[in-house]
Amino acid sequence: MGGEVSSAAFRSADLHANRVHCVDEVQKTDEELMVALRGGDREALAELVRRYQNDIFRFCLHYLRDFELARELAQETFVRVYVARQRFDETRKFRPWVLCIARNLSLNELKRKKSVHMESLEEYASAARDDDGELHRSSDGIPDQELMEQERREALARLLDFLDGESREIVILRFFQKMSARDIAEVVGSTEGAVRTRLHRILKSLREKSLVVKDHL
Amino acid sequence: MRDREYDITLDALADSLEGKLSEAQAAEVRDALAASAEIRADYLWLQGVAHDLEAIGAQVIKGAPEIDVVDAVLRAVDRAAASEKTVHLEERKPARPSFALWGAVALAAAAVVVIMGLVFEFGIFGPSEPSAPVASQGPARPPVPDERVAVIPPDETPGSGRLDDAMEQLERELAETLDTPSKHADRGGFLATAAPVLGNVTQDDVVALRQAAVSDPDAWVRLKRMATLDAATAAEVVSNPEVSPDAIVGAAASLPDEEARQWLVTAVGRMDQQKPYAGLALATTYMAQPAPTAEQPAFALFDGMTESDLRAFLSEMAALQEADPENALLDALRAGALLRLGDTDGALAALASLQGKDLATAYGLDAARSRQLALAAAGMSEESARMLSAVLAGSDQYNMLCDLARDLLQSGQAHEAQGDPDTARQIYEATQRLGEQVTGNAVLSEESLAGIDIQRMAMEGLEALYAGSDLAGEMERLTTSALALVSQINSLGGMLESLDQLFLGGGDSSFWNQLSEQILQFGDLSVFESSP
Repeated sequence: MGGEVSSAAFRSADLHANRVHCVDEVQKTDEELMVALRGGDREALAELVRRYQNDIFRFCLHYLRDFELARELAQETFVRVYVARQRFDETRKFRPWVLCIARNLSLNELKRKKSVHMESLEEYASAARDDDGELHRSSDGIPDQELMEQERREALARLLDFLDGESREIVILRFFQKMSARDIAEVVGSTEGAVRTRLHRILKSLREKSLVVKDHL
Repeated sequence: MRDREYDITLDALADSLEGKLSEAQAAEVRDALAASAEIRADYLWLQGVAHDLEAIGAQVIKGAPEIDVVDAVLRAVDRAAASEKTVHLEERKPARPSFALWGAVALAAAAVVVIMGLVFEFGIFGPSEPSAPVASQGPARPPVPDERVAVIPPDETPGSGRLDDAMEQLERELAETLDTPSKHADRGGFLATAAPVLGNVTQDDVVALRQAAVSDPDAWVRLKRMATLDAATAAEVVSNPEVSPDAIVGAAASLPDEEARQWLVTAVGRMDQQKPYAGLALATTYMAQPAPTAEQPAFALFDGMTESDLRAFLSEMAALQEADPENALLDALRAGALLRLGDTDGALAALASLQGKDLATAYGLDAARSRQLALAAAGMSEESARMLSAVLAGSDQYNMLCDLARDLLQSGQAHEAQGDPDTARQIYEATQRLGEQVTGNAVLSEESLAGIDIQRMAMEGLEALYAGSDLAGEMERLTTSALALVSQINSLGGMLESLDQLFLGGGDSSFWNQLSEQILQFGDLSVFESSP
């Protein structure tokens, strides 16, 4: 009897210690968690996974367009974080670093699974059209505001499809992922200045092309 | 695009939309917006585009569930931790294909690559990236061309193992990303097939073949056939007093060497100004240019030339260098001919001159325009001739440049075999530099591809040279160059895929006219840039 009480007390103490430990982890910055992980703190990794798993999942989804593959790669990304933990420089930010890992994994996966069909932005935009290629129209035959927006986005998506792969990637990181030029540079292995120059060039090009099709944009 | 008084980039405006600017920067943007209607227009446009891009991005992840992989990651990490304890240091070092095997590897990859083109044609992300699943966080690295830096794992120290890995990656990326052999394999055999009636070739025919070429290497052969005059037609073109000297240069490529030379001299004499591309065409007539066979798929540039041909070629080079002294390609051509004549000192002096220059060009754009004029003079419609010349622009120059590199490197290997590694090294390094100069000056994807291929070949030579030595610094430099080249290959691969997409996307006659005009004016590398 006394043994059971003692055992229960120990379990309670363990739980408490674990909870305190978890609270500690939650309060740490990403970079502090990486330092802890390097020191062998497994819970630090769990906290990083909790913080970023859905972010990474959606990030991979932009590349892969496949929920299951994106989930697998999100998981693999954190395994790579663990494997590369000694390489992490805690004076720099964790998020771009982990996104860089996720990006490399996604690109490698695309290369490996060459049969993966990736829906182009143009195809996405075309979803707004019916089987005859006509715009879906409201009952009175006049496109409503939403459909006009859809049409405009379709034109924009078509312009994006003319960009080279790297430029499209920068647009997506900047506008889909809301990343700063500095973070994009870390992710794609470039410099902030180069990304800014590139982004300006891309936007300028889109702007000029949109003027040509200004009826649509 | 924006008021010249205000240095506000669209990127800064985008930051402004999201409140990411410092107070000082935000104030600058506010002032600019207040003062410039142009910038206000940009700002409004950007506001709408940012909103639309967000909507497009949201559509991609629409319906994505929340995931919870914490336990799965921890289990996988436990397994990884267990295996870390048992892994030995003898990492597998995959066998790298030898220099001689490269052609076979590339040929085998060609079939795969054309299929890849189709796969990526629907993708958001065109280019493949270097296989580097673990990111590096090294300090800021020096910039490399195309503003991209290959990932270099910081925990790897310089050495032959790392160089091997870099070279492997380079070969793999080049084989997987670029469709080299399919476009360049047939360099003469196509002439045995029937020539089309030039007047019947329509722009749609050309576009359809270019579209087919995305997945069918034979379509390139048919395009080349279509663009190559038979000797009789070429003779009619050059003897027509109405045709321009540039059209004569284009048509002379289809004439026998002696005849071509006479007409080229005539054409050069009639030109209002010196055009170096015509001089190079004239010098080229001294080359034997044997057609590759199954037994010998690749030739070096000066194969089959007699001593008198080589001397005549050098004489033309001397004249050409006066007209275009800054073109490093002419030094390389001179060096190649001198090496063939056994004048090693003269060749090394030419290569030293090459090293001091910034740019090299084989005048691909000029040659494409002269082909356009020749085809039109031979009866092809203007728009067909323009489109055909545009889609093939630079392909002949690709062959010439790679044959030259092969010639130089063979001379280097011969010196190496004779126990003169120092001369070999100078030749390899100059050849690598030539590749950089060609790529650096390229306006056509074919020229850029040639520059990359030349660098790759030269690096192979240097790698073999360093293999038996302990030159850590040299190997480190070569490793960095190889990884930078991987980055360039990826960039070019993405551009080529985008170009394929552009053709597959279709268009009306006006679109094709604009596109071909732009390619022939500014090169196909300009197509995805903003207005030149």
